[in-house]
Amino acid sequence: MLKILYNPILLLSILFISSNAASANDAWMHSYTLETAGKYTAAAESIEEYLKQTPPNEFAELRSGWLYYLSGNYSRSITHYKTAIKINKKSIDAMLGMSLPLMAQARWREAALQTKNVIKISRFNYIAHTRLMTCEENLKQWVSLQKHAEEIKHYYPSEATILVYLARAYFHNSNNKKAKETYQQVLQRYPGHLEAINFLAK
Amino acid sequence: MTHYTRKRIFILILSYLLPNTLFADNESPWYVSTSANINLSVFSESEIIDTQTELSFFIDADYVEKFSLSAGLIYQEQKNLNNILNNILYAGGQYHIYPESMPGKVTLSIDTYHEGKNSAVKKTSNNIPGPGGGMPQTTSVTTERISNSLKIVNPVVSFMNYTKSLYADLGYAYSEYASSDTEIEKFNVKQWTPTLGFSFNDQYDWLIFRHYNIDLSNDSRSPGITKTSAYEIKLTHWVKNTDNSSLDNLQFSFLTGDRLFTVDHDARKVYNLSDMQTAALSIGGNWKYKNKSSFYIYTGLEEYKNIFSNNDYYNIFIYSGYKKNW
Repeated sequence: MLKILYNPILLLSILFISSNAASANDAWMHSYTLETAGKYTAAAESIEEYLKQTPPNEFAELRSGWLYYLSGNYSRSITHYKTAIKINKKSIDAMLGMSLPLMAQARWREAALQTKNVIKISRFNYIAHTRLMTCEENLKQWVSLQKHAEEIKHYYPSEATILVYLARAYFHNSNNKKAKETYQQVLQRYPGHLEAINFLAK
Repeated sequence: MTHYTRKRIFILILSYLLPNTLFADNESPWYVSTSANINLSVFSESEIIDTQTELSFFIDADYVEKFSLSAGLIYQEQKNLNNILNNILYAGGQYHIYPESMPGKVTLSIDTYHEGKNSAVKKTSNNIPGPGGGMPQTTSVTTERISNSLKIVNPVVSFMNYTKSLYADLGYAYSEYASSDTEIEKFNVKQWTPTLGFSFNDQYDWLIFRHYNIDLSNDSRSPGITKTSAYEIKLTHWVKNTDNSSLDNLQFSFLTGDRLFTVDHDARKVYNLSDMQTAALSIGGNWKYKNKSSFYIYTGLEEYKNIFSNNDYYNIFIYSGYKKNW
């Protein structure tokens, strides 16, 4: 072992590799620090060098997508998520990630398609289903929202969010009785839920 | 191009679009809607026009908020001094851009209208002078079949912010009117329509202002007038907490000023009457059923002036339609 320390070439190589690793680590650390400080664009720029790598760095694309979404640059965010999906077609992270800037741009149909792509891979993915419900609500697809929420609530019986979507769908489908019953179930899970309280007070 | 050839082309366009869209599953990126509309106008105190019936059919195919293609057919029948039948073919497209540097969506759209030759019957009264050359003794009416053609290109660039609180567009329309009638000179119309709109009341109300600036290449149809200008204001109120099968929105619009040979890219309507429109008022509503279909009806009043005879007249119209989302 000591012989290694006396081999100057090997020693220099080890020092070079560890300094590179430290600098890479620093870049990611710096990016997380900037994100925590709310400097999202700067956080994305701090990892820009990883976007130029060959082979492409999937995680750098995902993280850039997320940071540009937080910064409000939705089109740039979508570009990075699209690249991440090209690199890894199975990436649920990328598909769910991309649904966020699409929803922010009110591109509800395209966002719904992304969540449906996730559901094809992961049938009862909670995030995909609730985001799809958001899309259905904004597209005013009340009939499909009702059917969707009625099915998914069985898999997440303690969840209030799905019941809120279901209650809204019942209301818009002119079923006030079911809407009230569902809002009561929401209050059992989330006693201070304002929407449920206001609806039941009518 | 004959009337039947145009019909065949229209059916071909439909048959190309339908199999890929109507029978697609839920994951299809195509969203197709069709609409059928009728517009009935009754004119009062007009020397040259009594009624106008317009039937239109449109098909729109949208590819997940990226681009859309549209086609349609507009049939017009004007009963007046010169009975006119118009069959106008419509084709349009939209492309949406989401620029990084802008907080909203930019849409480039183009609408085109084309009518090769319509069927118009021109009646001319000839007074045959009496033997002394004074008071006419007899009157003969000659009927002549004439053809008119129309071509319109209407590009529009529009912007809507992501929070849907601000809208702006700039539209341009180039219309070319020609006739086989030697008395009618060929002419073209250039129309600019800057528009600004904003929402209020939690986006339940939209107010849109539009300015029409219209230049005519010559005054053969409007003696002494080659420039017109009009202002339009449109208020749309979206009904809160609507259930699945009820009134979705109400619309009120008011127009003042003068406009001739107007193209309305919102309504996909061509105002091809050769008389000056001086005011318009309309009110209507849109009912939706389960997000699958909608029914709309608008009624209103339009004022016109015939520049040749200085005849002021007005019409009452009812515009109604049914739209089906497939």
